[in-house]
Amino acid sequence: MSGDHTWRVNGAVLFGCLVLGLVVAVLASLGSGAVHISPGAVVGILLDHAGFDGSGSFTSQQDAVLWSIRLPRVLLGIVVGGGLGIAGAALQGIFRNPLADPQLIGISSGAALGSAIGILAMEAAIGTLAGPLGAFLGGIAAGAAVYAIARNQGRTEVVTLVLAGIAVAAVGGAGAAFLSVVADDPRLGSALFYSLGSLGVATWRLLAVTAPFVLAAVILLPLAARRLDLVLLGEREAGHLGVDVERLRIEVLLLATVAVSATVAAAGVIGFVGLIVPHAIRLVAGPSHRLLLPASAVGGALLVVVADVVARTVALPLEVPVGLLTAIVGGPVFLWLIRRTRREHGGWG
Amino acid sequence: MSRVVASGVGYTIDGEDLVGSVDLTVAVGSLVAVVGPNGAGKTTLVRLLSGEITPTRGSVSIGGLDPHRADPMDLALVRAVLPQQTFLHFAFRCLDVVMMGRHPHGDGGAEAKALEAMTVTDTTQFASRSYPTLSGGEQTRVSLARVLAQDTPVLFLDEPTGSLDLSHQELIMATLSGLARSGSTVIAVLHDLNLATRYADRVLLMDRGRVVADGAPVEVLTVAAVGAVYRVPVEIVIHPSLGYPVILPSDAGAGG
Repeated sequence: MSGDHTWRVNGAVLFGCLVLGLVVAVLASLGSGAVHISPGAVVGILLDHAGFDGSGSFTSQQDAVLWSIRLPRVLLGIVVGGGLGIAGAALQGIFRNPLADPQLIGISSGAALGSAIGILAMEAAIGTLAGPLGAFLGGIAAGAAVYAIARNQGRTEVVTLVLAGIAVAAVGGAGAAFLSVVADDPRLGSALFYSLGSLGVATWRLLAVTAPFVLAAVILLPLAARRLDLVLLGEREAGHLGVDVERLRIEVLLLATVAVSATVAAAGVIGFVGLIVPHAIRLVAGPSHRLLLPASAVGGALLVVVADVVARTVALPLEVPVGLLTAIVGGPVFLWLIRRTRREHGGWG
Repeated sequence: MSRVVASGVGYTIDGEDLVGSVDLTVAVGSLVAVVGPNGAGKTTLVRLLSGEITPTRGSVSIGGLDPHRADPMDLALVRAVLPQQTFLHFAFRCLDVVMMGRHPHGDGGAEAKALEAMTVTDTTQFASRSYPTLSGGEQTRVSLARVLAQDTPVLFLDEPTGSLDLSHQELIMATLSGLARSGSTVIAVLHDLNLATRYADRVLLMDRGRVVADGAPVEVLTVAAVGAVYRVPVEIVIHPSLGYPVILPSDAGAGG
């Protein structure tokens, strides 16, 4: 059979490999840094905190570093990467557009500006939820603006979507950086945080505020997997097959924005994760969302955890913004994707 | 018993009537061909009848359902639609595409039903091929298999034979005719008038947004009517071995 696609990796195998990779990356990340902790000691400390009698082959300094600093940071990396990965996959599906990355279409930067405004305006009144809530409102506003501009006569124009996204992203990113400089408020992130992200502010408390939003998206978006497959066939075709496309679009946009906004409020704008992870998974295992959505969550988590461990160990004692690493990897991958798409489908016009 | 009913259906956009007031009742077990020149409103009429677009006046009923009030999933169990072309930029295997036609029925037996439909449209050999790598005509046949897999009593097809080679045109038209014989209601836009005369039970001839003639093929596709609507002189001859009428452009048209 010519053009047979049996080379595709079985979904369960791919998913298993990603989970295994994530476990290895997590153990490596927990052990790496100024204070070295061996994998055995990492497991011992974790078991100790889980109530089992640890083997005791670790120091109290190692315990403190792992439990109070590294573990919340690694878990936040999983949450942030998972949220960005699944949101990117879902947005690309609902827009039928492989360029629909949360950062490229402006949601991330809108969320960054919203988060800064939310902290300044509401934190005194409503506490730690002010950041994520402001981020969500900013992300929704940015996403809605870009979508409204790109929508024309029942179609979403690819080029307009990306161009509008660039403009909205520029305004949101600049606005967040402006507030960060002018307000000079320690509760706000630095300009660098809003443009390149960091997991350096991770605490158990921040993790507790962020995780539920991302978890909601990770649990609920896969329920839309089959309908998203049908939308790839065409919005009209999906309608003929019984999908309420307008409702699905609102559901997916809301869930993706909730996840992205929560990650931006916690870790700033980390680019390319939502773009390259779903692309890589489609390339290996095909475009079906039943595998793509959960695998993009795990793949995104893996990418961010790996990028973060490199970010905080490559230039010790300095720490590099994690978004620099995802961009250094993501930029070239993206260029390759553009060339590959042009070769296969004549490009995106 | 009627399956598709249109009452005074029309579609006006920017003051222009794309489809005038159409009254139509299509019975169970018939193959209706919608024919007419480019821009006559054939596609718009089919989109109105299938419930894809909302008429600016009049109403439509499909199998007793109002397509704009019914639950989309209930509607998808009653009617399937083949658009002119399906642009898919993601590398789904053809079998996956056809299995999507089973969505309204849930997951049970989807693959067997899909393969059955692919056998009918002669596409089983493409089952594990990526849809975007197929030619236009091959894509049409896979999409048609998807529509057949949906297994609905009513089918709306916009140019199902448009990009097919001769043998597959015959295969598909014979299949549609067989579906009508077994009780389905098939409404298809056709460009080839000879496929319409040979296979359709009824022909709707459209011109400038109006149905100008409606009836059995031999009654509708006369020399006078076809000549007037298509603005080209034609002759009708009898097929030498099969005995059905064949419409041909006449010599008078050659000089323009």
